[in-house]
Amino acid sequence: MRLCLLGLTVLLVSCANLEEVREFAGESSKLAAYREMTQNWANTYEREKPYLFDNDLALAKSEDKARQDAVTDLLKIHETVAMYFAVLGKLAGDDAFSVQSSADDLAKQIKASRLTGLEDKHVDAYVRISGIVSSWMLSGYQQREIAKYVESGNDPVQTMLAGMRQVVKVYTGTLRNEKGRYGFLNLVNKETPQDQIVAALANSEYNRLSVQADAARKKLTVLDQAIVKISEGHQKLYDSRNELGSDALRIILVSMSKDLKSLRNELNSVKE
Amino acid sequence: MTKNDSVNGLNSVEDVIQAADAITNAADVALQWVINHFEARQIDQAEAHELFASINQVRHIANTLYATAGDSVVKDLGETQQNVLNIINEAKNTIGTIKKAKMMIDIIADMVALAATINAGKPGPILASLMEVKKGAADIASI
Repeated sequence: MRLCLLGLTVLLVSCANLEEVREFAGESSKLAAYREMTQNWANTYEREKPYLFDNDLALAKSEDKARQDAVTDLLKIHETVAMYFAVLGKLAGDDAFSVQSSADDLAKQIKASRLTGLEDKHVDAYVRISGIVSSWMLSGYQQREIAKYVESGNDPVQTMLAGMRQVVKVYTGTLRNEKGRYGFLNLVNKETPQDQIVAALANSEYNRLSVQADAARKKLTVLDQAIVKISEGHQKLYDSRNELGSDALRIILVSMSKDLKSLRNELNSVKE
Repeated sequence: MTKNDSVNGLNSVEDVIQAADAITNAADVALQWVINHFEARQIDQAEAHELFASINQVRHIANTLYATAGDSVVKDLGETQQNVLNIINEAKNTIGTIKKAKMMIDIIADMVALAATINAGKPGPILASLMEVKKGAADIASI
């Protein structure tokens, strides 16, 4: 009876190895550049304002209102996708489906209590055996839960990732128009020495703004590549959801995670 | 906005973005034309600025379309986003169930400690162990 009680309580022990799923989910949840570029899009008017006058300024201001109305919801899209992958990482976590540490503590407590009449070696042996059995049971449970999660999540997550790609196109297009609006800095007379000084200053300012816009555009290109990578990785997970421990999937996920990490580094290294 | 809905006569977000891209392309080409002609002194500064202002009107149309597309993406994804949140919550419940199992084991360990202290008959440790059991029970109830 005592052994049964101990057995039941330490039965839920797991050691499922889903490191590659965890790694991929972790990398996918770290797409901070989407947030940054959404803020960048929302701040378009603030950047343009000093360079616009009269009617151009009024037009830019009216665009700003539409952007400010949409920005909160655009950020929520990213938050939801990031949360989805964070929870996937949690589901695939080493300790999410393991109660090993609690079971070990219980064994220690039973040994320390000297109440049960069980010898230490019996308690240790029982913890080990039940650990092996429950590891097998919980590992299966964990993999089924991940499969269920990925199965129900694939369609909506793919739709959201596709939406994020459309949003990146929106940001890219708006950025092109922003850069174009600075184009008047290239339309300065160079007739007199004074004109030439003004033209040189205007040209230098245009170059500065141009470098800034090009860097943001580069970030958007890399961000789009990262979203595509996340989409492909999740599709692979979905396709192999019933064989999560397979070598083929592990190899693919390792490669995807590596690519995502490298894209993240590329995003961080873009200088504005 | 679904494929069947229509904004400004366009049928989908992708169409709206493509239209905005086409307008932006046209504006960029026009600007380059103005810059080239200004530098070649085929137009003067006043003419260049007038053309530039017209190009900005075109850019405004493109930017308005981009903002419309962004807004449509948000509206399109409303239901989908809710689906994803439901899936996330379900998974969190599963993780919560395992957490409960861990806490159950912890509370059993506390109860074993309590039984041992009662057996030893020392009031101080008994109270301390009792508090642990009480706290464990409250933690489980709060999940």
